[in-house]
Amino acid sequence: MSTLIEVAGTRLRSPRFWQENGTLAVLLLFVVFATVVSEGVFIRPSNLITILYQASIVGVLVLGQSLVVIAGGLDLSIVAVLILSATVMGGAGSEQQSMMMLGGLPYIGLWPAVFAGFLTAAFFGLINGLMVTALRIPAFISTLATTLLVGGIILVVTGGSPIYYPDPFFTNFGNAKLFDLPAPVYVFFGLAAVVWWLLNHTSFGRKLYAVGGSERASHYSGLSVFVMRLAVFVLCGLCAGLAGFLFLSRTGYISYASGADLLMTTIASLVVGGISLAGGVGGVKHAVSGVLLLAALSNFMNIMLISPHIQDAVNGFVILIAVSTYSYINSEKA
Amino acid sequence: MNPISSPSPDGHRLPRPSTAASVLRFIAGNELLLVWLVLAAAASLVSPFFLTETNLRNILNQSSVLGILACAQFLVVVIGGFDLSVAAVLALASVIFATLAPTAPLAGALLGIAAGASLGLLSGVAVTLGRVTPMIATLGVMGIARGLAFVVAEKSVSVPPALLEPFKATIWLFSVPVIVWLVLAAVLAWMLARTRFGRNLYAIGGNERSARLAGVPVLKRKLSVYALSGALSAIAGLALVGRTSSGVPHVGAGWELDSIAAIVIGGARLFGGEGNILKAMMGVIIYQTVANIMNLVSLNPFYQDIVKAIVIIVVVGVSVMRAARQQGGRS
Amino acid sequence: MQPDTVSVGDDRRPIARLQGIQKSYPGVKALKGIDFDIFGGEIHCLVGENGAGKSTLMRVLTGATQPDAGVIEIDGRPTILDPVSRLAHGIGIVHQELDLIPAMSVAENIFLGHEPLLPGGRIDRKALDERTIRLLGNFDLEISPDTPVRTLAPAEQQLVQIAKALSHDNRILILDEPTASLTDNEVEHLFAQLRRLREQGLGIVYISHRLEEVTALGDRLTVLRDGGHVLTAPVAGISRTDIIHAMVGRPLGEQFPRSSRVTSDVALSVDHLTRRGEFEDISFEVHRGEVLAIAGIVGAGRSELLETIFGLRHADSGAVAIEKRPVEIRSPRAAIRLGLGLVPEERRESGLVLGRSVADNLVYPIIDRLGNWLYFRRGQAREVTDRYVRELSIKTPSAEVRAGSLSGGNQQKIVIGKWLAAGVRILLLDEPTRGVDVNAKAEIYRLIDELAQSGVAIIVASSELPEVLGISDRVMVIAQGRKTATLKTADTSQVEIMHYAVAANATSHSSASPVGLQ
Repeated sequence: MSTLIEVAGTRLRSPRFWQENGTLAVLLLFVVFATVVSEGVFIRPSNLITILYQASIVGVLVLGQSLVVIAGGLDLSIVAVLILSATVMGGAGSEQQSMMMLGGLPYIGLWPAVFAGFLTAAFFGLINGLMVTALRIPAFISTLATTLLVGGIILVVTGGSPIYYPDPFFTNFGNAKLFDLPAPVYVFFGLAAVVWWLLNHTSFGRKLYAVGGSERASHYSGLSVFVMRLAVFVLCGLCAGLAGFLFLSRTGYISYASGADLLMTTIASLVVGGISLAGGVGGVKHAVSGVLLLAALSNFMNIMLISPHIQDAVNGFVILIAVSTYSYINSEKA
Repeated sequence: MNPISSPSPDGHRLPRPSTAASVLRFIAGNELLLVWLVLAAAASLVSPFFLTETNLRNILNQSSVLGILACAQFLVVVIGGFDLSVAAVLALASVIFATLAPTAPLAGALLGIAAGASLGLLSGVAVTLGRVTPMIATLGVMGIARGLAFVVAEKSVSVPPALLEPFKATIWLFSVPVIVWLVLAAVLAWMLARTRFGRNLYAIGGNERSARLAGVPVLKRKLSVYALSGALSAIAGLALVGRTSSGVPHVGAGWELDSIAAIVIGGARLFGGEGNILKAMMGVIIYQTVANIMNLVSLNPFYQDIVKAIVIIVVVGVSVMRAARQQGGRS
Repeated sequence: MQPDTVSVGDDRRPIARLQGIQKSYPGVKALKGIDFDIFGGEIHCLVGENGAGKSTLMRVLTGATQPDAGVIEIDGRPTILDPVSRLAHGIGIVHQELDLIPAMSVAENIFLGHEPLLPGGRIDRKALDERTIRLLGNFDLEISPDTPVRTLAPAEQQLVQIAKALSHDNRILILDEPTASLTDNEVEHLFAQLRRLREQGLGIVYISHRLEEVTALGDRLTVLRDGGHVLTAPVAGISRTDIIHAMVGRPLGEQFPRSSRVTSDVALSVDHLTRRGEFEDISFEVHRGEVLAIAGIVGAGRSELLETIFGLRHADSGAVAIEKRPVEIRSPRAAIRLGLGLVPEERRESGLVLGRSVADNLVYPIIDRLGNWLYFRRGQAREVTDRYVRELSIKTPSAEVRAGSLSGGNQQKIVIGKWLAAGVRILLLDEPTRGVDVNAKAEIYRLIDELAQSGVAIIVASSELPEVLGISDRVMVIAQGRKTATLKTADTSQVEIMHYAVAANATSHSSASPVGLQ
């Protein structure tokens, strides 16, 4: 018995352990804390399902973002791309809606519209990738510029007014349930499985970690840094497109101003989960635990009736504290 | 200093530049002025309204807020960092000021500036002691500032215009906010060129290791700069209230990118160590002039963002390529 | 041209005296008990191969690092030095790497950190300019104080760096390879300044590989070898040959595994390869099964040459051929496809992804053969990994451990191993045993021998002369970017190689007619 405690003690003291599992531990503690403070409201099954539902959109964004970050980059344009994709899917996929749109999107049928939405998302992912690799503009400036560009396109296409009437398919999808869990949650988990496979069981994934870990050594070993970075931005774009699909499914509505807090939440989830912004480390376990923790936190704040604006501030704090903590842990390790 | 023998008897005559060289250097140094003149010429061909006093005054007015933001961003960029929180801090200060203006305007202004400086300091601490990259640190603070802005005021706060009369005073082309902006820029320019503090900033941005080894107090300087950036962003917020008579919590989304673009147009180096703040101000004016021209030709406002984005990408791309060539690539 | 003899010793006390200085780093004893002193009014030259201990000794003298044992005396009093107190004691140093801020002016760089001030934190521009002009005047440098350093030629930048060191009140000035980028004229100017400074009582430590400078400028000379002190003597009584012998004369104690190797066809040939500013007109051949060593001192251009062959840099002119077929190697990927591999000098930055596992690092060059974006043949990868961990005796608890946690020697084995796994036919190695412990070194030598036996063509760039002699069949010596000799290993010696490595005027020599040395 005492040896067990000894072993547990050593593991608990190793920085590696906290890097790997810190977020899960905090998540566990937080669940306990929230349950107690909310007098049991938090832990109700319906509430947990709500958490998962809300986590699914951020989760899809975070999974895409983590691919980019592991490869050593960053994509700040994901929310703008999300909105544009959803606009295309909702606008061009609904006869009624496309007639109403001031800027103009032709009606091309539901499935072509969905496809076009994904294509748009991938296209802007490609633009991001090219700016970062070919033009060598730092990722955050490139993606901020893309945000502006895509924002402008959204305005032109929608004339500034929101999309209210997408094809009913979307909301039907959002409401479809299997074992009480809505379809979007399954999409999130499905994507998590795909990303997990990609990162751990393909050559592509291994190359990604190499490029993020040391661009120089990767280059010296013959890996194509250019192609990897480009590919990863396209994949992130596609995830933003998927998130747009889910957003439309959940709310049946998309506008220029939607998702204002999504970017902060995405980065906060990533960072809290323990994925280093320097690149080369992190995995699906980190991403998902970060997403769940932040979704739980946000849900808890809603239960306690804390204003969503304070939540934004809280996310900001979370980012600062989480990154500092991890860099502290890592410097100890070094 | 080592006792080194005195210079040779006829003194050291350093070559004085010839007049032709001086003129050329002035023009080359003022290529931005040239760019603006070209823009102005093209604009006046397209719209007779461009070169009017009213319009020019407008351009300057619109430049004032972005100009002060650009001053903040410039300081941080020179030292080798970035500040993504400038716009959010502007918003926070503007709502604080707008809320308190009817009752205690001075207190409101000071509180706003204090809030900005504190948030800036928070960024600085995260960057130095927390070892967080400037981009992420200021992104976090941006979230905090924006959240706090909404906490102070759920929606726009109007200030009775009467209170803001002094702001509206104008001498020819220059209104009060514009004068505040230009004075600030001039003071900062002096500080950056003539004081040890200012020169140290360029040193840290140029080669932080060398600066540290030479005894420059890098930590103190960085903290000061981030705090200063916060304070300046707050002042920009005050100026905005002065111009628009309201504090809006969600104002300025994307202005941090504008501030970066403007100083890059003005020749600042993105990775630090180089740049002239007065030229950066010229960059702001050029940036606003482009926006102004787009308005004059009645370009659909929705297209303006797209144009701006393209301008930013081109300008930054060119700047980065030039910086890379200077460093000397491998091949 | 010999300087006037300066009376050294007598009852004059040295400004600084280091006694019995020892310093060890993990795995290597950098200084084994060194005595060194410097008097005012003398130029004391410090000479030795790479790794002899010169830099470490100077780091001790400037307080950048603390010795494990030994005493430092300043003016006869035992002192502890650190980066701040050494300035107070008047110890200044001009490093080899440029320590200037490119965008700032000459004056600002020189006085960085101690600018003359007016009240209010303002910089006293007048004083700044005046003092700068005065300092620069001593090098006959007529440049305006507000010239941006970046616009100056490398030689002028070097002089500005020296002026920067002189802007403090110095009693000792250390110069580390100061003439690397200076023309003969500028060197003469520099020497004139240094002599003038010596007259004024400055103690100068002059580190250089250029023996002609040492004999021309120095009063005294100290030779270090392998962390130990070999000799200290007045320059007047010593010849170049004596110095070289002192630098490298060591018994070849280590055993190098050697087997008779049949060298047959030409694997790689390089013709008049030139890259401006790095190396010029290099031509050579390597045969299958042969080990060609490239000897030379640091900065000679060997790494740049290897990187150019490997496709990391582009040559300005010249040609490369593999098995007699001309090729254009534009990237490492292309090089690898042609059967090349590079073990880079900086193992941690360029050779390995430290955060990834041993197993991953071993398969990077062949990772596209093991899978794509859909799958990864784990089983096959594991076979490859296990095989090479075993064959190379890589000491690691498991193949999944982070590469960064292994010792230097084992890390190097991973780097070599990944090229073996890729089926390399021409292997380039840059300082392969730097920072590697004795046992791993021996294993790496064995590896190289076995590889050569199996028909791989091997090029090893090394500044460790015993190693060069021990593992190679032929030696090509590079000095200042030019080939100065090609020698048959069996017929040459450390002394001869060093002779060519420090050759002042680089003209090529071939082993056909061995040079007779006195």
